[in-house]
Amino acid sequence: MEEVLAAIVLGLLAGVMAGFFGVGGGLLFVPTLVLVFELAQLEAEATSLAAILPTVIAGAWTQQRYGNVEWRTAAILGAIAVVGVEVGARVATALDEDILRRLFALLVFAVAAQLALRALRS
Amino acid sequence: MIVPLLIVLCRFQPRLAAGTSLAAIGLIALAGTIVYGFRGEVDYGYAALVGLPAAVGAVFGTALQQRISQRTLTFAFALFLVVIGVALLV
Repeated sequence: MEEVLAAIVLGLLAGVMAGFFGVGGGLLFVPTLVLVFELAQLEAEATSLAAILPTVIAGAWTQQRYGNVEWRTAAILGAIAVVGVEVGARVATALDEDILRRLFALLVFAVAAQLALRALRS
Repeated sequence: MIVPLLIVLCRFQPRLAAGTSLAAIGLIALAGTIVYGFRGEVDYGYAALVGLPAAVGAVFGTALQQRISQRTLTFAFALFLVVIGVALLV
């Protein structure tokens, strides 16, 4: 019973974050599934994808009502990502995980700086 | 990463970027769920247990986002990225 309650609370929290930041919520779903329900990492990631589905449908539907969805771009991005995941996974397995993580963190910081600059200028 | 890319590369306003990102993630999650579902790696019961409350939360989070200025929202995205970057390094 405690697990169900924890899942509902963490799910709700993940949803608020997903809607606010325009992300899927997997960032919170995966640890929730691993720590609360003791799923294996791969199973948790697969299950998280299924949990993301209702989350982003609800979020996109709400954003659509405010006129904040560019459907054509979304379709193109979605298609690129579906293909890109396959290619990316192959490249990723060929590289050292630690180096990959640091490189990605560097990219994330660079983009964050770009965003902050843009906000300052606006 | 879709939101900052749309803002930086495509010059989308942050709210439009977030909404478009959600729709794109929907397609990605749909494809992923079908593939992993066929392999029997998706636990639909657990997915519903966290995903359905999350759907309610997403409506709330999206509505909350409309009350914030585009500029503040851009700062919030930058901060969110910094948190993720730090989490990647530790």
